[in-house]
Amino acid sequence: MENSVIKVKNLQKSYKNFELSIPELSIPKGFATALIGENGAGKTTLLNILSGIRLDYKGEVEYFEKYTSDEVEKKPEIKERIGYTGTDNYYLPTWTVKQVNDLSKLLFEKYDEEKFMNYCRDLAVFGEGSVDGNKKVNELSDGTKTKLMLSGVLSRDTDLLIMDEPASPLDPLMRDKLCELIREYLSADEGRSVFFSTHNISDMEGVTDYAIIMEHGRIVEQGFVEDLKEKYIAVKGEPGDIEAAKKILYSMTASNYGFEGICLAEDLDKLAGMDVVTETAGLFKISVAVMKHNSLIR
Amino acid sequence: MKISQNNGIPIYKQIADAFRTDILAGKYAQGEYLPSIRELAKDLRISVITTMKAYEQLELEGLVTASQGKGFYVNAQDSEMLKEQHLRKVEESLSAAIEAAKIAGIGRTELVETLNTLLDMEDMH
Repeated sequence: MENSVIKVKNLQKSYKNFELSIPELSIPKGFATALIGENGAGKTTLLNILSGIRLDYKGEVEYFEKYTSDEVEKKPEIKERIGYTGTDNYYLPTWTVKQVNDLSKLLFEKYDEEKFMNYCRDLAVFGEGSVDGNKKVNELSDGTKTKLMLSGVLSRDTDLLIMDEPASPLDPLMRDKLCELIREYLSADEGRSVFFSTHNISDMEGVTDYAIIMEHGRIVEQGFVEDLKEKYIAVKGEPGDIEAAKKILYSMTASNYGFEGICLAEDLDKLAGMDVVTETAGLFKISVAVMKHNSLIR
Repeated sequence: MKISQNNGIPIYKQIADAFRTDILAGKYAQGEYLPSIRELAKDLRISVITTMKAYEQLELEGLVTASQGKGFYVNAQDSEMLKEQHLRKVEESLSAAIEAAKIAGIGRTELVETLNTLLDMEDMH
């Protein structure tokens, strides 16, 4: 891989029944990277470490090919370059929107108040267009809270956006808008990168360049989506071939009418003689196959 | 440019095809830059890596050249190479026709006759 925005080495974080262990990870610079995995796979733990929320871990994290996490903690100008949105309350529940704006102005040098108001208006944070500065954060729905966080983080001039499940609380229309916002963010400057976790793989596929799939604290697959699509091939076939195909396919589901599943490209030849159709798999299918392959759920 | 999400052809191929057609048709001047990768991704509502792969495909075919930090510009299309490209397309289409004829049990003479008839019809227009 060429340039990376975050590089991780020998990262380790243990809980009672869970261990995050990442020998090596590099998040490509200039792209949108999706972090995919089951509940409890360790996505939020990883994001919290990378965004500086958790500092109690072992290992090395390097930002912008230059700074260690210690340096990031000590130098606010590097933190200025990183934006974050999470699933918990990022803003205190009792804050009003006006206070969110005032505090953002205070905290961040490169914060554009006008942009914030425009985003709030464009994303209809307050319904009918007017910005109600006295509305409190805890009076907003989960989706609207996420819109408010997005408005806040996009109003800063950053080089890296880290987002924990930004799509989950959003409606379909707003998810589409989220993809557009990410594309706009990336196209504004070539050096910008986005790293987000998601369960809404299909909704976010159109904006996903690189995918990292996690299972029980480990990275089980990663790569540029276009490359993954050449590695994992979707296959459908007839009932008569189910038993034979089961031995070859990476993952499959069978019914009375036949089977479908994912075949590794290198194993495609072994399906010769069977009546199968192959097609390009979407990222959702690929992710589910990889997760199933590595999951504790059977 | 029309991009279909589910017609079985990978999206990067569809984009490369569209640009190839335009470049071979002379819609881009020699040295002219293609839209930037990130702009195109934004406009087509697809991921950056997909547009990147499309441009790399065109580069591989010798149609464009990557210029560090500036993007992809269209190469001089010498007439020999253009002809070669077009000839390849013709061969592809004819091979598909031969394949279809085999399935339908249509013999060599009949196939050639069909081609001649079509050519005659084309001439009449």
